Amino acid sequence: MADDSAFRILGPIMTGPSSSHTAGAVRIGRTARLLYGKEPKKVTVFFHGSFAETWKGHGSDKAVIGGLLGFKTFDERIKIADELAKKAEIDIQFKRIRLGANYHPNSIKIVIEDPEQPTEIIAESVGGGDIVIREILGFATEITGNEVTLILRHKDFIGTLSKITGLISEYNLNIVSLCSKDIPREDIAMTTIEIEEQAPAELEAKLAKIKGMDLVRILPKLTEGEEMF
Amino acid sequence: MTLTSVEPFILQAEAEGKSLGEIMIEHEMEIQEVSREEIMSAMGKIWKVMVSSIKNGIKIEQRSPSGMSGGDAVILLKNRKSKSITGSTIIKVVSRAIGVGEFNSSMGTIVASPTAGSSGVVPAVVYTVAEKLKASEETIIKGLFASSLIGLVCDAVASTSGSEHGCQAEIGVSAAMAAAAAVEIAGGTCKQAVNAAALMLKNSLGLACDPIAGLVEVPCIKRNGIMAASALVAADMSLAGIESVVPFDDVEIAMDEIGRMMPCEIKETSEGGLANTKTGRGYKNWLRSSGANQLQDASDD
Repeated sequence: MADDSAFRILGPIMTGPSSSHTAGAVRIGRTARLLYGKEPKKVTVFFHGSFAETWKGHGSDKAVIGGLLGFKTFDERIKIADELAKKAEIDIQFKRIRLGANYHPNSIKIVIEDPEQPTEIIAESVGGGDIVIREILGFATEITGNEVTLILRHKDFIGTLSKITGLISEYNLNIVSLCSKDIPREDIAMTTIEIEEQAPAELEAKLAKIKGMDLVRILPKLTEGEEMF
Repeated sequence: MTLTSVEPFILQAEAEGKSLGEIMIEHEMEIQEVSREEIMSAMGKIWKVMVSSIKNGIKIEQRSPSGMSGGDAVILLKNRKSKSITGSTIIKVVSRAIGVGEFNSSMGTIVASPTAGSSGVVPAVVYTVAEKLKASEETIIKGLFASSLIGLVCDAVASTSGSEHGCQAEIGVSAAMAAAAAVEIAGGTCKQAVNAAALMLKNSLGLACDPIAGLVEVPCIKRNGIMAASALVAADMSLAGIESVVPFDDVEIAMDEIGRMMPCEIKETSEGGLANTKTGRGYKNWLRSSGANQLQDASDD
């Protein structure tokens, strides 16, 4: 948003009370939900550092649940997200964890239990509602959600990356950043690509057809739906 | 582009015979490249959320999970007839601002104006002035736009974050914004609106950000109420013709200087001031241990 816009000072519309411990927590829960791709049935949420101590006063538990239900930061239902999850028969447990000194003091780990599609993230709430996804399924990442982000897990075949970027250029999408890492001896890699605009659903389907691809997700921008115009 | 001075806006308003709100609407149309209608309807959405936060807030009777806040707007409204010294306008504005503060801390949906912790002042002041003067929605929207210049300049020159410049930058700025909005709605000139903001901000300089246990409750919520009342007083003083000796652009520079001088213990770290009193530490220890104790350790599995 423009630095001199009235809506920068009167806004955003958000669910209180805290941008870091409430809005950030909603976004972390929502990211886990988007990665999983559907409504989860069994989830364990681990609070690290400041979240483990102040979650109650900031409603961080309801915020994460709201995110897991797919809510955005301004959704009025966040307040009753725990009741809504119970009604939907989603089992969500909260635990305290010590991730270690390498992790930001405001970190949350989310594990969605599903033998067919286990999903696990560690994310930081870094202030003002901004977050950074530090780990996805054990792979180190650095996803901020400032851009649309493609998350791809695939076999470590030669030429996979060029197939991926080839498809992206077919849709005339501009790549902002690209990061690809493999796990040595395991023959599997995680590639995250930031692009400027929302990608069409066909791209997702085409990426999934690349040989050796086993996970394709397109995360929208974090602030999706908050535009004033 | 950032706005670092109110002066060009005052000059433009005087030259064209327009109010501050009108000038800011034109400014927004220019930077967003959309029609006046779209600009007005976008701010209308903001106003709708503000009104809903007031209506929900003044009904809250429950205490918050920490036990430090909740139900004070109801108490004030209930007792206003028999026990009020200041009268109904002040009581209403204070209860509305406290209500929004309580709604925010109970996970209600609010408009950060400029922040979540200071989100009660602008809605409460605009609502109360508009109600008293029977202002139209268009006038209300103009009032909100008038308030935005004050916030934007403070943000560009100093800060609107308690962790950077203390509470003067949050509640002080919100009250200055509200004072400008009140003057706009009452039909005052651009100069009077900015002058009201100067009077208000001058009298908020140096405010510490020292919330107990790091929660947006004490002193934040009641401070919204008391500063909303002050904003009305600043607006009345300006409308009566009292001028701030120090103009707004100088006051915001002073706020920046004071903000830089303030120790970090009173910049939202909860290490000094009210947070570091015996009471403050007591709440902090109790909350932290009760929050942590309610969670099972991951390693216990």
